[in-house]
Parts: sequence; C-alpha cells; structure tokens
Amino acid sequence: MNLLFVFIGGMAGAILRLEISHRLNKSNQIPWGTFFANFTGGLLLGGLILWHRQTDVADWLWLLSATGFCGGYTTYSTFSYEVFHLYSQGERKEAFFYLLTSIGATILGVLIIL
Amino acid sequence: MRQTIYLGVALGGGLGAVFRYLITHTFPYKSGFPLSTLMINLIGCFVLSFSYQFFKRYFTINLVFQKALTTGLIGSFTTFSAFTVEFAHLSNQSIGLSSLYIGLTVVGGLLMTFAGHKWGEKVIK
Repeated sequence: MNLLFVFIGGMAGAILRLEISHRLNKSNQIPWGTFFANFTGGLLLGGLILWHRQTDVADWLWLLSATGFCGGYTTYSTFSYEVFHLYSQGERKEAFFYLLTSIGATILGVLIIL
Repeated sequence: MRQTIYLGVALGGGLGAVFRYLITHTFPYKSGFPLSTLMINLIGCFVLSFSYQFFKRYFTINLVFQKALTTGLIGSFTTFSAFTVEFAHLSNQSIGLSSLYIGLTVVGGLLMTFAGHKWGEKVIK
C-alpha cells in the first residue's frame, strides 16, 4: 500500500516537471524549467517537514507528498547533466551560474523555512 | 504522441519514486549521514548520462520509452529536494559532515555524469 502512494506522488511530480521543463527549458541556455522545479520542490519539502514537526501527518500523506511528489518533481540527475552539457557546449559561465544558483537559492530557501 | 509521452513519463516517474523509496527504506537516514540519497543521486547521474549517449546511436528505440526512462524513471529516482533539505539539516549539526555531503554530491555527481557520458561513447562505437 505504501508503494502505491509513493507511485502516485511520483507520477504527478514527474508530469509536472515535464510540463514545466517543456515550457521553460531552451536548448543551450540555462534550463530555467528544471531550476524552477528543483527550487519550488525544495521549498515545498521544507514546508512539509515544518508541518510534520508541528502536527502528526498521516503516513500515507507523507509518502504521497514528500517521498512521492517532491522526490519525483525535483531531479538531481537531470540537473547534473545540464551543468555538464552547458559546460561542454562552451557555456562555462552559464554552467557555473546554474550550478551555484540552483543549489544556493534552494538551500537558502530551505534554511529560512526550517 | 505527446499524450503518450506524458503517460510514459508518468509511469516511469512513479516507478523511479518507488525504487528510491525502497532504497531509502532499506538504508534509512537517522542522524548520521544521508548515504542512501547520495548513492541514489550518483547512480542516477551515471545512468542518465549513459542513456543519453546510448539513445543517440539507437535513436530508433521508441521515443516514449526513451522519455519514460530518462525524464521519468531516472529523473524521479534522483532527488534535488531531499538533497537540499538533508544538507540544511546536517549543517545544523556538523559543518564538516554537511560540507562533505554537498561536495560528494556535486563533484561526485558531475564525475558520474562525465563517466556515464564517456562509457556511453565507448559502447556505441
């Protein structure tokens, strides 16, 4: 049963990420779609943890929203590949900028929330 | 076609999340070091980069399957949100451990991406 909640959350997260990347990512430029998904997904997980600390969140709801949705909505492998791709295409400044802002902005946001 | 791609990515995304859950469930993160997320992200970086190379050559493989595997399964298997939250958590406990975590994830992830790319090049020759 646990797996079903994780599965459904992961499905929803992956579809939303696909849709956002589809609209915002342009080839050989900073992929703002992935940036947006990772940033907002990080903040959402931070918010869920805060909520979890204050009240008892049911297991199924946690599996659906945190493990499934936030995990599926955000992605590390695509992010790392995009940094590598920008760099190897000669867009070195963009690669560093993308790497630092993605991680920096999300961590800053999470630290403020928690 | 577009709808089929969305369906494929959804199924892949669901499966990727389940695989991640099974790994983190087997090696739970208590208070030490978030090793399972690190492993998941490093493995995912390698497999994604390898897959992109592989599909360049074997582009005849069904596009829906390609997207379901890359954007869906591997994209959802790896996670950016857990990484940032675990880092924030760890940074309150130990600057050393949190620096190690972020360093291993970022540098390791890029190295694995590069390795997957190179290995993919070799395989498709």
